Amino acid sequence: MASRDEAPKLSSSVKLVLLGEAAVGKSSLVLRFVNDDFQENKEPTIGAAFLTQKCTLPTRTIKFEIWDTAGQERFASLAPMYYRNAQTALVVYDITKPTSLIKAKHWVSELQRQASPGIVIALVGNKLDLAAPVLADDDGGEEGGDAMNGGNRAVLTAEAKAYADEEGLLFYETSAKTGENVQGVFEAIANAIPESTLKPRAGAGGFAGGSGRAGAGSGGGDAGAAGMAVNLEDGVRAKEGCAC
Amino acid sequence: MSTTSPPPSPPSSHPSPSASTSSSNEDQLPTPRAPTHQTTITLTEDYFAPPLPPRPSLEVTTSNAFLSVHSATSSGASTPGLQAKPTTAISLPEGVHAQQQDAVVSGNGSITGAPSFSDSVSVKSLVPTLSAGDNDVESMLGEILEEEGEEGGFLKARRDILDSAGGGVGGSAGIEVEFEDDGWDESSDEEGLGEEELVARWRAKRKHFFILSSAGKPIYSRHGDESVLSGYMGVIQAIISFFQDDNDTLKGFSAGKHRFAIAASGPLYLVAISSMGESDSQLRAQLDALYTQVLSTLTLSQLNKIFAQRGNFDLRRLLGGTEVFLDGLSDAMTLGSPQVLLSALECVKMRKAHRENINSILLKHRSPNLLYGLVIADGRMVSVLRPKRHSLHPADLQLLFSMLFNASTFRDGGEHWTPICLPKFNSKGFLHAYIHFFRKEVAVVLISADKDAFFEMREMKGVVVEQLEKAGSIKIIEEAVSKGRYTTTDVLSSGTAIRHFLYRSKNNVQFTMPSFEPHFYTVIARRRLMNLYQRLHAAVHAKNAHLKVHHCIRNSSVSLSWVTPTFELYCVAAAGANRTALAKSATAIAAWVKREEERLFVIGGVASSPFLFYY
Ligand SMILES: Nc1nc2c(ncn2[C@@H]2O[C@H](COP(=O)(O)OP(=O)(O)OP(=O)(O)O)[C@@H](O)[C@H]2O)c(=O)[nH]1
Ligand SMILES: [Mg+2]
Repeated sequence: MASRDEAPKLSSSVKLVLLGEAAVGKSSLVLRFVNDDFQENKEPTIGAAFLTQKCTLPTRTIKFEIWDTAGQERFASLAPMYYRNAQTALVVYDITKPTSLIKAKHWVSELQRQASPGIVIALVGNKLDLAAPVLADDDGGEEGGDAMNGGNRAVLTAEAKAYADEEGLLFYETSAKTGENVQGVFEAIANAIPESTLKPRAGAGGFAGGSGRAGAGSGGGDAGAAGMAVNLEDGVRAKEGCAC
Repeated sequence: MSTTSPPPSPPSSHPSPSASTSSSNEDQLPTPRAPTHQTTITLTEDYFAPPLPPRPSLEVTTSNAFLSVHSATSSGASTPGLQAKPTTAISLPEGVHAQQQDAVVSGNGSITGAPSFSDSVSVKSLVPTLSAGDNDVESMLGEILEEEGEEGGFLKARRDILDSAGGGVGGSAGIEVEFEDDGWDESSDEEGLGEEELVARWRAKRKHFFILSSAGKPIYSRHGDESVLSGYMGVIQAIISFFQDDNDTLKGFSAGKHRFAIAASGPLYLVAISSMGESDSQLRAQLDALYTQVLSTLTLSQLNKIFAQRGNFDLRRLLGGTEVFLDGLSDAMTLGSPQVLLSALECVKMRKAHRENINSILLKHRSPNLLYGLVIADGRMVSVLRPKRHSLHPADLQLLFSMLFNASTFRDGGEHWTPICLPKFNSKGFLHAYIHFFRKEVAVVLISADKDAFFEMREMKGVVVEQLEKAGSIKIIEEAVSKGRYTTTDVLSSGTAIRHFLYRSKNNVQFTMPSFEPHFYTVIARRRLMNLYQRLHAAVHAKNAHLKVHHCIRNSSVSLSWVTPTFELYCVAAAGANRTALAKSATAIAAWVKREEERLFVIGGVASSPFLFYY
């Protein structure tokens, strides 16, 4: 539409990280957002994938630099590397799996403790297509367990919403499979980023920050990783300096 | 060249070991003109020398000794694989022979000889779950029984591995279908099957790989689900620890037609059960590949730490998501993997100048935190960059390749940043790999020791790809890939009897081979070919086997193995091929590879640090 590229419009890169338990659909959400596609049998992410996607809004154009992290337990210790300096985070759970919401809450509190202070967090309940077809009132009013008849929903919208409100998070339920609300989440985020944190569009700034940043507060991280998480930060300080 | 000349004398179809020593020249390439093929020892033998009586080994299966503590020979069955009969013992000396005699080989000798093993009944009683009704055992053994039948002259129809010239694939198509579903591939879905059926299916697999903790906790199994497996894991653990209690290490044993190989690696036990006739050392190499894969995910230090803290930790939690890699590797090794068999990698064949172009682009734009840089296409190497001080071990590279190509997760066109431990480089820590399949089959992989180097690597990749594009290299790579491997007729004259070969360059730690087509384009044919290679490889690598040339005639094929200090060559020709012609072809292949060396391999090293192009 806006044929010529934004003259007055604000344009900026935003670093976004996706966190959440394995198999909740993080990669699928990104795939839907970036390629408008869905794969029934997406393989687990190993480490993290990096993608970029532009999001054009009436007032601003945002280029998301997306870190789609692996939800597997052993990668938990790497997470700080990805959320450090992130301006926004999508914390994803699976509405058919209550434990995934618990895990999501762990991520939220880790972000609140350790990520940049101004970080915009969205809580996203994915796999909405698996919920029971809730016929009438779709805005939050789940009359007890009734609405769950016939569906696989195991986390009530109201419950998650209440938690999100309490913590000041954006909240959406999505389906990467049908595409429902996926664009909506990213647009909402793009709108929610405070103008002050929008840098004029520069190149991707490394894992942002200088190079002294390394360790800091990452190691212990969140106890949610059950204490047995592998420490993937045991880097190889390659014998006698490899990069000769 | 003159490979098509008619055989001067018909190939002998009976074992007639003939040793002739001419120790000269073993290192040099005999020229095609050489009046006779120059071999140190020529051995003609049929692996399964005396024709077997019809399905003799059924006796074994019906006897209740599933875990056979007798020597395989005494039970009248020849164990699958490389079984030299006493007549050939001259050239396949002690090592091989002994292995055949001892059904159970432990560190200190055979189970029958182990003094502490007084209660053989109790061991058997541990195993009855493994043993089974005749049907089950037969289904487990069916494949090998049939194969041996073939060796013995039965089931002549099953010539699908090597159809004699012109016979064509069409003729064997019908036969292949018959074996399609007994196979290794997992196409059939197992949902909704009863437990009995599940167990039966599980048993019918040709090959199993297990990983368990030394406490007996299941960690990985290629086939079968928890309900089927947990019992077996317990049995295996019990057997292993039975020996360990005596400070003895159980390395392998035979049960019926199945060979069990066991490796205790760190806090893990790895077990292979195979009915495909591999030698123990080959099975062990396969287990090592699996172990390496586990290490790459966890590092040895983490693995040790975890089990030191909690002996009964459930490691599956931490390996979650890597099953695809273990599965892919297991399947490759069941199908038969030249990489694993030869411990070597394969390159995309291209002109020297083209490869040098790519090398120099990588070199020129290498960024400060780069450790290793690779361009990979179609599962093969195009170019490898490494610092002078750090060699790159083939096992580490293989691991990387198996990760990249056994799962689709990295091939989605996106950019990836993932921790990876290359155990031969350093088993204690992680490196970080930037992986980008910037074309469907072509990837740049940049490995750094710095976990924060993603954007640095990404930038380097950007420049490298741009420069490759400019230089036309990407087009060249893609063309090379789409053209596929060369064929035997590109190497030899068009009438050649040679159907396929494997050539391993020892200096380069790389191998080359022609296309599997047209003769081995089905999965079955390919698996059989690889099975043959594996037997040839075992023969020339058997302990104490000082074979330099090994000539093997079977009903379905004639083959030749040739080992020199600089290379190993395995060639397979159509049945009835003449021996002299075969030797001449081998010579011609070796000469061809020598000539094409710089196109076939990534060259870059002195002998002591084999790999590769370096900076
Ligand atoms: N029905 C349904 N299935 C989904 C949806 N999103 C993802 N899936 C499926 O859930 C599985 C896991 O999806 P992924 O996108 O790989 O999950 P992930 O969070 O990236 O997992 P990790 O990379 O292991 O952390 C896949 O089989 C998807 O096809 C959805 O909205 N609806
Ligand atoms: Mg993912």
